[in-house]
Amino acid sequence: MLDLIHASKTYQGSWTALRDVSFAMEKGEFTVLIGPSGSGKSTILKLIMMQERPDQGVVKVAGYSSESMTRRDIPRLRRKLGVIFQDFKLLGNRTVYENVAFALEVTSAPSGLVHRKSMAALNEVGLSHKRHSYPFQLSGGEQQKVAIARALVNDPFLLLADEPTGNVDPRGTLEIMEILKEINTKGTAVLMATHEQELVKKMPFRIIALEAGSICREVPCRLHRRGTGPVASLMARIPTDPPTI
Amino acid sequence: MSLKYYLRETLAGYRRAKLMGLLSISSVTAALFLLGTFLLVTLNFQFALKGLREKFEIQAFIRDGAPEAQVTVAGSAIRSLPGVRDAAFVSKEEALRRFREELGDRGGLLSAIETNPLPRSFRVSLQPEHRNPESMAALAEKIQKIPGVDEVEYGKAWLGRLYRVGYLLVVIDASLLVIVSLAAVMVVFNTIQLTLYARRQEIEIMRLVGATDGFIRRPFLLEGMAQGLAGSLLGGVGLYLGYRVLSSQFGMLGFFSRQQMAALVLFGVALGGLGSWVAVRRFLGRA
Repeated sequence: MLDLIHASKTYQGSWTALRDVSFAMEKGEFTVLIGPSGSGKSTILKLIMMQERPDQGVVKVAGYSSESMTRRDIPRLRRKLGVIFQDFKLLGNRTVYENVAFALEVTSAPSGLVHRKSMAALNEVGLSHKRHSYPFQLSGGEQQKVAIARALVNDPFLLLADEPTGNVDPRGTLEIMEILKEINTKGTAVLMATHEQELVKKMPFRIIALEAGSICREVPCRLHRRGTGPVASLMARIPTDPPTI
Repeated sequence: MSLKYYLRETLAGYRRAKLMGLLSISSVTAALFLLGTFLLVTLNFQFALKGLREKFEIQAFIRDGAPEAQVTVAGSAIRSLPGVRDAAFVSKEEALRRFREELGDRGGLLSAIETNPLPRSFRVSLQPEHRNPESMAALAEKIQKIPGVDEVEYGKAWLGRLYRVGYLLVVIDASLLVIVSLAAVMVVFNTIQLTLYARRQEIEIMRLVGATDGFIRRPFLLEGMAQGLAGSLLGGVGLYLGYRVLSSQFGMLGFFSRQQMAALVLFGVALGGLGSWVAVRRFLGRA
């Protein structure tokens, strides 16, 4: 379903954002990418969305490969993915409903289907009663729920979440995490990038820890013994063998 | 669904950047008005030239003292030349009569002359496709060589000038076509680029949720084409009003046919479309 094979990415010829990263995800899996800012989490998500291509290695998603993918294939891949961001990326001049429907309209879906699926997605995040509101009338948590509804409206097989709780208060954070878990139990794989160690500590998900563009998940104990960085202290608190859902 | 979406987005584009849209439209209007004016001048010049062309003929003067038989043979020889429609013989008496007519009131001057100095001649009329300086020069040369023909006259100098003016007008039209087209395309390009910039977040989201480049491009293309259409229609109305005013003053002026007018409007639409197409292509390629 998702495979990163020795993927490396360097920006502007000198800054290495990702160094030889390999991992795979199966259908319905919930994986958390954790690491400080600049550790390469967002770059991994960009590679999966094919916003960027790896300089070395290969990224394979839903049958597409970064090596052979054409510009025309990209929209087809993105319709199979859902994405949410820290800054929500909602359109301020459109209502909640219009923001969600927008993701289906751009795929030229018939209007009946657009309405049905948009309402279903809003129901799923519990915001159908606020469909006529504008984003500025909503709290951060609610705005992120709208973004989740927009990501779900295309029935993605994989939901990419880039710091989804970064602009959300603690109560909203819990709600967002509950919704993500709910989505996952219904069969959608979730790949969440976050730097919030406390958040991950409570979650029983597979965790891939990144530091300076490399994965350090396979060595949590050694990190605990030797490391002093934020990832090492985080790894000290999570089980050696994180359970996989 | 999609059509509704495109129309809604096109209208929304207008509402978002009214002033820039108006600037685009007025630029296309000005460009097409200027171009149309020069095209109309050319058109009217061509009409006038066509009218004159009916009168294009070659006069072949017969050498004094040439025997009648030679004149008859010369007449047949002229008529058999390709491009010649007819050659009418003008006797000395006929020539004098016509000259007297042309002199009008001053015809009395001729009574002072005892003998008729005017030579016999053939008035050679031409087939339509040969009524141009090159064919006439070639024919005149051939006629000149026919035995009995003394001199050939076909208004070489003024004919050449007339054609040079016509040619110059076409050159001006072509240059204007290029200049005003580029100007109009540039203005529409800038307007659409600003609209694109204002809506960059929306475009970014569209791409993230899987919109194709074509889907993103279409509303902007429509917007550019609509600006071209509005501009060219206004330009056309301006031209027509200008034409009405001028023709009431001078009369006998020609205007574009319906097909020509439609071509001008379509040209404006194409300019708008091209400007926006280049802008979106550049924007999507970069983003």
